[in-house]
Amino acid sequence: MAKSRNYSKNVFINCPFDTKYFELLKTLVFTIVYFDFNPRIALEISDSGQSRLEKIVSLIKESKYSIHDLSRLQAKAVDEYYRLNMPFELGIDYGLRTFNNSYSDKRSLILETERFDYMKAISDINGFDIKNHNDIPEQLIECLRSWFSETVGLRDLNSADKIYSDFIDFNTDLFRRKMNKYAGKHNSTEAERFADSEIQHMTMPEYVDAIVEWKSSD
Amino acid sequence: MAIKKSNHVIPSKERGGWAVKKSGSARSSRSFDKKADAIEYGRTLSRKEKTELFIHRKDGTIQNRNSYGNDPFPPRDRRH
Repeated sequence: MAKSRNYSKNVFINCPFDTKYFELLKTLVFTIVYFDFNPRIALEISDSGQSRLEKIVSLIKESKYSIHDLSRLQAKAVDEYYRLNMPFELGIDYGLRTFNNSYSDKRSLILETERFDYMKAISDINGFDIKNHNDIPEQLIECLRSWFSETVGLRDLNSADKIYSDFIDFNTDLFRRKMNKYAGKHNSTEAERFADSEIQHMTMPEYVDAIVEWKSSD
Repeated sequence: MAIKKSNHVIPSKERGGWAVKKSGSARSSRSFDKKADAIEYGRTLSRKEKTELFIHRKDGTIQNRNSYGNDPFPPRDRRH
């Protein structure tokens, strides 16, 4: 079966979709686009005719690379269930790579919050490329930069603190652009509120487009 | 796109705290355990330098913007 046209540039993101993780997801997506790769995530499509699992399997097949964040395997409160979607999707990705020779070139990165957390929940993956970010955006960039260098094979990459600085500049520039959009017709307080609201509710494709636009104007 | 000179309160990798840094600089001016302390330092610095202060959320987006001189978005005069 022919692979997707952008297979070698696609990075499937398997992560929790809770509010807390969204704090890291924006950093994750920015860094992937920063390195000229395409983040592929279940949030990018809302086709009610396709089941969530079908959608995820398609994304996995279309992506040579995948990033699996297992940092929500542990329930944080009494009566809270731990999350099984991420290890399940990691299993699908691993199965495709293992049982189908056409996909033996797939490569993945596994992320967790604290080092060796995974050993308590899913020790079978011992030996995989696993990095921990402590839920801190700049440390997540360090994990990604290392992986893109070691596994994907990119060279002469900017330092992690330069990438983080660019991430902050991107967010500032995005806010200013949105402020400019509203400032003509509204006072600065209202313009700020509208700008912030628009940014907070950007869809994943809009967010990716904004990063691409910022990169091209740099 | 070129960014005008400004100060930023941002999440820091040091113990999960907060830092103040200048636009375009990869290094932080100072790090703090609490966001409130970073904001206070950022305000003092921005007043002194007559620049904008951007307070970021943990996801990098802007939570607040304060201008302490040469405001690119000055308040509009509603009477005219």
